[in-house]
Amino acid sequence: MKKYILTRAIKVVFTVWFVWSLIFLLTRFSGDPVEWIFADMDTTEAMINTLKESLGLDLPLWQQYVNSLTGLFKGDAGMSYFFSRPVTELFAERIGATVSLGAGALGLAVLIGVPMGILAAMKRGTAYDRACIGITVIGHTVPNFVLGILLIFLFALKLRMLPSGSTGTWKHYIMPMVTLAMGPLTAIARLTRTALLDVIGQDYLDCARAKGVDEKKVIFKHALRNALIPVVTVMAGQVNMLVGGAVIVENVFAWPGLGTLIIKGAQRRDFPVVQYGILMIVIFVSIVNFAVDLSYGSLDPRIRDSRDKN
Amino acid sequence: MNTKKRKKKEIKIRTGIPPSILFLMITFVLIVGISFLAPILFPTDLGATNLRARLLAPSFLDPSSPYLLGTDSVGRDLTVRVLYATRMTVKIAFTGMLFALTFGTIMGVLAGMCGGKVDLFITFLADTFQAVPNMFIGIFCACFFGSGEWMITIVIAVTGWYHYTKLIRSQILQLKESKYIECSRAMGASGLRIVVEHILPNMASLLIVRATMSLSSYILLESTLSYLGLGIQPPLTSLGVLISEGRDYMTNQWWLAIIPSIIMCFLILQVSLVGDWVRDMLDPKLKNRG
Repeated sequence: MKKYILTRAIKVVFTVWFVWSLIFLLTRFSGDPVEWIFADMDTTEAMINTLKESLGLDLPLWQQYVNSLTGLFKGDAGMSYFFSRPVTELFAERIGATVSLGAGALGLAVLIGVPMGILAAMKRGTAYDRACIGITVIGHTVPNFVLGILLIFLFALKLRMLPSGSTGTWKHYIMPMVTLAMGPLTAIARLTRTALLDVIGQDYLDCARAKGVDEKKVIFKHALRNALIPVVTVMAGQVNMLVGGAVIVENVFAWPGLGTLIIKGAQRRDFPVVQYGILMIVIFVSIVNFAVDLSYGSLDPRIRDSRDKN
Repeated sequence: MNTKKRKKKEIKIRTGIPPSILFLMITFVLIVGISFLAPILFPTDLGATNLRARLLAPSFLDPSSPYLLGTDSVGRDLTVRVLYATRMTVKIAFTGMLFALTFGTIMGVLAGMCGGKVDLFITFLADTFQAVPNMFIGIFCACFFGSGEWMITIVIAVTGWYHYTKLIRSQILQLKESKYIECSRAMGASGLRIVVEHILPNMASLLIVRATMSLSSYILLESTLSYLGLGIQPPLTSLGVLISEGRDYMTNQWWLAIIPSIIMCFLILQVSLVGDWVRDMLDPKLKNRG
């Protein structure tokens, strides 16, 4: 098990390093940032040189690479071109808003999605089951930003019940959270249903019933625990999707989080913000996948055993 | 009720396709067909404006209006714009899919047939790309290489290829062991010949299913990037551009954003339901899992 954790951890570090190097090289090949900063201004040779020097762009490529990599370990992610402030400072200001939105949406998705799937599987073929399938179809056909716009239209403009954007009170959380949760929620519900239906036909459940175990206990103790493994796997993918979705939802609702910062950064060609923003997200997603991989072991002893043998 | 049911059954027996899927297929072909003929049916300059006819209501709300779906803030006919937008979105999704499929297949064949270090490297590359949410690859490319029609096509290829690579690699590893591949190798067939004659035809159906099912996510990626202003740039238009333009007029001219939204959702619904159906057809094991 220890060996497994170690090899996986090394792979995560290696992936992050690889992505960082790729981002670094691609950004250097895509053109000179100085040209973008001075896009519409009259500039002299001296001005360009001073700016290049202050951004460290006059050094040879390998030197820039080493500098940015060592800077990364010191927690220095350069200055935003647009705000003229350290990128880390900008991120620190906004990360709270994004995390609270994402965590809320994930919680909502799990708390509603899993019970919805269980009920649909237990009442297979009934109207409730069909309604659940219908909702899940809507969940993966209506894109995040369209759902957001529709909610704003309905609840903010027509009914005037909820604020259309920004933060402040708990009311501001409702629409962005629901919009963000919709995709993962329906995916989790659909998967829980399928996984549970797969397990329900198994012999060991009949065995448990024959022993006289209560039907509820059969579902929750014997079936659900086995059905949850594929659900947890998909949840890792959902976190991936949630991170991508958060960027869009934040934009639709003018939410002052990282997503708006990164998109605005991309529109203004604020390179450091986009570079380090993406790096941070890759690190986050890699760690989540790592954690999910480890959690299989505790959910399914068979996986744990097979790892020990290797 | 009974005659209705019998009719449904008749359609199914005659074509082998359930009526609901048939309906989705026909409407999809209709929408795509009309939108691709748009430059011939309604030749227009997408940048041309007509400020006298700005923000007119669609004719289903105001019968005196000559415009079927109304006009936008600079007086352009929304019907024409929706057709051009659909055309752009579908075109990008399809070309992106072809790129992803071609590149993914080549990488998958390389990984599966060469094995060793090549396999290790390609698998690592695929895993790495999977760790970055698609949206961010799009944002990154738009930021550093500019945005436009071809950029999104490339973004789709970059975010989509590894699905096919992984699928093909695992299939090749399985097929490699089979008797008939062994036979053909014993008769002196080269690696390329085995791939082209035996392995690819065997996987064609799997690849088609995967591609159809991914098509909806490509439509989504294109529209989202365009909505965020990182994709198609005006005066060109796509469904994402239309929704983002219409968003500012939600209070009074709601149709400007809602009509393109409905069309986009319908496109995604058609593609994904047909994709599911094709998968179930080719893999009967999944049929009863819903």
